[in-house]
Amino acid sequence: MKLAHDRFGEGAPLLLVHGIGSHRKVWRLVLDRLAAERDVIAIDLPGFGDSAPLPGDTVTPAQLAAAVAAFLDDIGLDRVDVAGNSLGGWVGFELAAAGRATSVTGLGAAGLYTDSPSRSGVRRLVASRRLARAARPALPRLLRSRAVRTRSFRDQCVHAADLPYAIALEAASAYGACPGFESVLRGSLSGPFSRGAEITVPVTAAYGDDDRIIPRSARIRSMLPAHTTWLTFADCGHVPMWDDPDLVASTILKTGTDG
Amino acid sequence: MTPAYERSGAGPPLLLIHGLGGVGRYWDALVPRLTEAYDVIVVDLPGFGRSAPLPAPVVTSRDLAVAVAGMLDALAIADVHVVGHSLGGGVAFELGALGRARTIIGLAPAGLWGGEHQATVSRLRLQTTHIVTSLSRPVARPFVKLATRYAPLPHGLTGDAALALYDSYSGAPGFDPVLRGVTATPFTDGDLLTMPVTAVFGTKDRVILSGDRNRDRLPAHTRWVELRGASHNVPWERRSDIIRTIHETTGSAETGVSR
Repeated sequence: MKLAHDRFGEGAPLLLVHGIGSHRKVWRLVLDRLAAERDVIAIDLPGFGDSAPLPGDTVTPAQLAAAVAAFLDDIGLDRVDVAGNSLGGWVGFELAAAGRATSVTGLGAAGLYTDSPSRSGVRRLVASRRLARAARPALPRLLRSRAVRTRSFRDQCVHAADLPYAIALEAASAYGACPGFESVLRGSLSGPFSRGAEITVPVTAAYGDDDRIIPRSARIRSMLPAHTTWLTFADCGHVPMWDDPDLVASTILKTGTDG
Repeated sequence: MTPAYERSGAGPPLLLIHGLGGVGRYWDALVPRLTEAYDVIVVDLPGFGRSAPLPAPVVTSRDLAVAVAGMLDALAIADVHVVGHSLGGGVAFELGALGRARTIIGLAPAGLWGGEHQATVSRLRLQTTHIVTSLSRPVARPFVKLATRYAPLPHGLTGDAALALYDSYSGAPGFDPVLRGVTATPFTDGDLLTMPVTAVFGTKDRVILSGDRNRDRLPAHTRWVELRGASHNVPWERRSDIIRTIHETTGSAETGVSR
């Protein structure tokens, strides 16, 4: 399985998995900190960034995890520490349940809902996707305005006003361009993560205190094993890597070494 | 699904957007006077004329703008001069906020509500007229058809165009969802409109009352034009004024067009 990825640093391997509509560059602000201690592999999931989509109208996080496992086979890695944001956190849980992770850090992780996922969160995602697509030719010009950046990214992070132009532009462009958005959204809505009981490795589940995409009702603790460490990041949104890179990096590194 | 459109003429692209219950043919009398100077694109908004409705019970100007942006994408046009009447004016503002407008000319435009809603009296009047015309449609349509064929029509309208307008007002699937969304959603992104903007109102407009022409919703550089004695249908009643206003507004952004 071919997946676009960046690889930096030396040490125990650490796999970084982005969220829906995002891409591997979302880790930009934490990469240096992580690569100082680890062999960091940041991937584009199938259908996002520079990776080709999986076939089908509906692509579940479990299918994405199977593709990532095949990618790990290709680069000769059996088990890795995994950190994932949003949908990427869910993919991390699936990898752990499949025995391919030595630890998992979920940051604003999706999948921990019961009957139906957050409607308002999904609505926000779909609205942003539509706007990013419609405004795509104008994004380089539009996002130069701090007001636009603030408004566009307020659902993703608390400090949207301080998000650098380059990061905002690459994130919005990726969001509007990815072919995998609709099929993966459908797959994510078709049923929650259900293999929590099979996870034996260390798990950290962290949520920003202002996460507007995954509400508290979609962070059901019983869906992850009892040994899970639950954290709340102060002054952070759904993409805490943009709000507090230091805190995110230290949390990820800690998950890998504890337990 | 991409909205239907007609395209004629040569020059910088100029998009004409009709109002609620209207259809592209609303512009029939103006188009021949614009094709010498512009590449004129006349759209049927989703849910009106030949365009399929958006699958939602509530449709806002922004939703319509996103659909129109999709049509521009299909035509490989990044940005256009936009002329919108009534609802179409509200859609034009949203296209501007999406970075897809070179200039905007709003003719009795929607969305500049004094509060969060259009005045209730206007909304009820629109709703009532629509209900009456759609209920009477089975009986009335043959007579309307006869009338459009044999009676003298005002404003340079042809029988075909008049019948298309009647059909849209009395039978368009987009009418109710759009009425619901547009009258309850003001335009709030005035600070994103960095392009030249002109707003034209007739002093006898009974659909968009003076309280719903809130100047604060558009940027300070907006040119406001009042046409004495004109009603809501300014594009029909003041054709020469409108053509001149289009040339003046687009000329301020486009070199080589100065008529």
